[in-house]
Amino acid sequence: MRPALLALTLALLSSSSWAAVSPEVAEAQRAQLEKLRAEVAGQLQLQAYDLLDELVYGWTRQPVFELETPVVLADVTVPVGFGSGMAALIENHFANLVVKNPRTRLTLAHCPQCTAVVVHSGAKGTIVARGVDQPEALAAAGGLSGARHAIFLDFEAEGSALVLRARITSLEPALPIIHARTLATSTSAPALLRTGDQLKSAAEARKEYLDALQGRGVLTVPLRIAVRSYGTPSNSAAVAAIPFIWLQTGIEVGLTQARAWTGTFSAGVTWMPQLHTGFMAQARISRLLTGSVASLTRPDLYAFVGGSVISIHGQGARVFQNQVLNLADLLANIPQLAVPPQATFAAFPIGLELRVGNRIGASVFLESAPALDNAPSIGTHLDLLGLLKFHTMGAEVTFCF
Amino acid sequence: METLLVFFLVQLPLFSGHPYDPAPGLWHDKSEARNLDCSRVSQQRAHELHPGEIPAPPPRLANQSSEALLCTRRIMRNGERPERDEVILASLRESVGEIAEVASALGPGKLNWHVDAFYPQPEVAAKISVAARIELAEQGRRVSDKVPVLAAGDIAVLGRMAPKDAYPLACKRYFAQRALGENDAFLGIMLIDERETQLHAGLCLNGEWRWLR
Amino acid sequence: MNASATSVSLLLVTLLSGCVTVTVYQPLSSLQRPSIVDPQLANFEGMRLLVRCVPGDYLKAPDADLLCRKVGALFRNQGAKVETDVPRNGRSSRSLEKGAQPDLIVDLSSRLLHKESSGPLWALTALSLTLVPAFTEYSVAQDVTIRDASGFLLASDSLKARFIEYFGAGIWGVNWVLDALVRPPEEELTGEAPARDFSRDFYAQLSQLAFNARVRSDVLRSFEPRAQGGGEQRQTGTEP
Repeated sequence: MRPALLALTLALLSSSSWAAVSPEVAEAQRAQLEKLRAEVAGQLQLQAYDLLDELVYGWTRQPVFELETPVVLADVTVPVGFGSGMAALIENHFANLVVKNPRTRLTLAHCPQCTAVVVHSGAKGTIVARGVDQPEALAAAGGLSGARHAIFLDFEAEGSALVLRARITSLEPALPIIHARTLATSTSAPALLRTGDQLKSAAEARKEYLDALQGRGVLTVPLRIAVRSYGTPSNSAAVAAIPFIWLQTGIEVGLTQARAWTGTFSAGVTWMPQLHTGFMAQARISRLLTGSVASLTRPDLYAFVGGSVISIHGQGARVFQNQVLNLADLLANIPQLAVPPQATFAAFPIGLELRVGNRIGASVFLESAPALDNAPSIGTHLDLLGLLKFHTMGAEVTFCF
Repeated sequence: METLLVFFLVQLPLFSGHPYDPAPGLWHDKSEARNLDCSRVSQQRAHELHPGEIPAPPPRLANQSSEALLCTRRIMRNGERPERDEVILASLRESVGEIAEVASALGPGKLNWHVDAFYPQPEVAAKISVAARIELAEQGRRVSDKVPVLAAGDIAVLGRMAPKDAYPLACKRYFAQRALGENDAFLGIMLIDERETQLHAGLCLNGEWRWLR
Repeated sequence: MNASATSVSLLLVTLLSGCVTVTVYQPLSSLQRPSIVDPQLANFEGMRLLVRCVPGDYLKAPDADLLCRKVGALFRNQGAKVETDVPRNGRSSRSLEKGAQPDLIVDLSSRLLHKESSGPLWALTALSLTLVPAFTEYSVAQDVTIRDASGFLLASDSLKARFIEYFGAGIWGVNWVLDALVRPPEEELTGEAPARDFSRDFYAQLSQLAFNARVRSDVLRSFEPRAQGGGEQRQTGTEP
């Protein structure tokens, strides 16, 4: 390492570094931003709901008022840059929470004049403002609907956190704030949606989440259906092997709590009427590529390597033998055909597996069987500089139980 | 062709074998990496913060300092909001917290606090003033949602003045017009220069203006 | 000389020339924050700045000197009168003169936060003639504090970056091809891209911090005019 890369990478800047972005690039960026904004809005809504849950849960534990009190939801503001559609969703969720949690001792009152712009003329002149900003005018007009307090909810995106600032203001001329609370969350925290009438504290929600994580069992039983296709022989006279269909099952062990590494031991069987019967024992180890822990919500991609012992019995095994198998030989050695041949060899698969929810998976693999290097009926799918030959290409579907 | 394939396969495990590595490369481009805020923390701490993402350090390695690079994606990507608004809003909690702390220390007693923000974009100004009011209220201050207003003529005159003169004069006018009384404190939060990315604050008490920050 | 010997010689020359290194720069914190100030404008016209680069375990004195020269040039381009200072053995190289107090004192110090490299991987890289790439990763922090002449703290920040140096003809080749064919210019990884990106971020943040400090200094003085230190531009550090 260069000891002072910090200094050495510094270079005087040319004016192009601050040059304006070309209109075409800016247009493309705008389109991309619009797409991202829609995606972010969805995530943000869940975060906002979580914060509202926490706010209302807090009020159920420590109510702001001693008696049931009518309040007006005066204003909901969303992060700068987002539209009013999100405000409507938040308003609905908040109303739902308050209705389902009477222990908050809040009753939402209907007050259309509170949020409307009203004009009030008095001794000090004419004032144009929202109703909640001039309660004396509302009171005079009888527009408060019995509510003497207003709730304001303000959401803002501050870096990677969404911040909720809630305040309750007494609707008297001085507009004193009688309750204020700030709640913040991080966008990386998973949203924990709960039903409105079963709110939980943040600590309880965390425990729920941890329980869900730990609930990912260490042992699973995979059932695999695999197809193995062997390479086309270079000798066109030789009979090529047909694809083999395997059914495998065994046990899969999570080697780490996070299932970043897993190991599988399985046994398999293949059968084709009048052609072959085969057995296989396989061990493989898998490494998670998409993250350091298996995800509860997204597909996981694993890479795996392993070792197998395959034994094939029956006429189908002839393709694995070290002699050229062509139609002329077959016809000339009909008596030998009566003795069912067998072939046993080792194979080493390497592949990728996509797992969804640790329940279903699909994988593709290449398999090297060094013992088949001299089998004239087996070609190679991939030859790595003559050092490593992959004779088999395969695909699997896995169901886990 | 196969040699070329081998060549690429050899590169993959290292260069792109960590798709969860946030550094620019095959899986992430530079602009995506710039939307992350990252810090290095111990693996134990990272596990506590993100139990679903980062496994606990193995017990046999507990004594060794194992670190994790913890990255969180900013909600608003680069370019989604005007740059100055983004910087101001991203640090709103910190800046407003500092301002409220200093103001509280200078305005003791049973004062009624009024807060207003002076920022070119009204929606950002509203965010700043709401944040400051709530911060003061959470510190136990008596805070009002009411904003003192001046006469239209005063506003017209003040609007033509430089900040160094406008705010002290506005404070005097608030007091003279009885928009603020002896028991009232007015906290003004503002931007002085359009090229800066920080908020300043001043306190108006008994008609006297004092710059805080 | 036969063809294979020529190929090996060319490969060795390429490796030794350092052409097979790809450095990836990732801003960790603060460096990627948007900045408003344009470092090409006269943002500090008539101001006196003292840029002090403090050597340490990570940034040795000659490198601190180089850093100071470049940062000095950055502020000079913005109209400031700049002095540079690289304290050695805890002693400043700058002789204080009465009446020549700087308006802003910019202190820079660097820290190595994290370094990671794998010995076996380097061995594998050597054995495979760099077909298998090796890498060294390190994270650094550049601490910046800006004070006025009285020592009052006006602004401070810690600019953190991560660099991953990949070494290998293969990795370099793959990225060179991607840069040439696929990536737009602003997304390129090879060549001068990491130095250009880091410099852009670092200079922008430094300029913004200094500008914020300047305005804060004005506000805290209630916009009273600065005391005129007098004196001509003076360099006590090494001239760039």
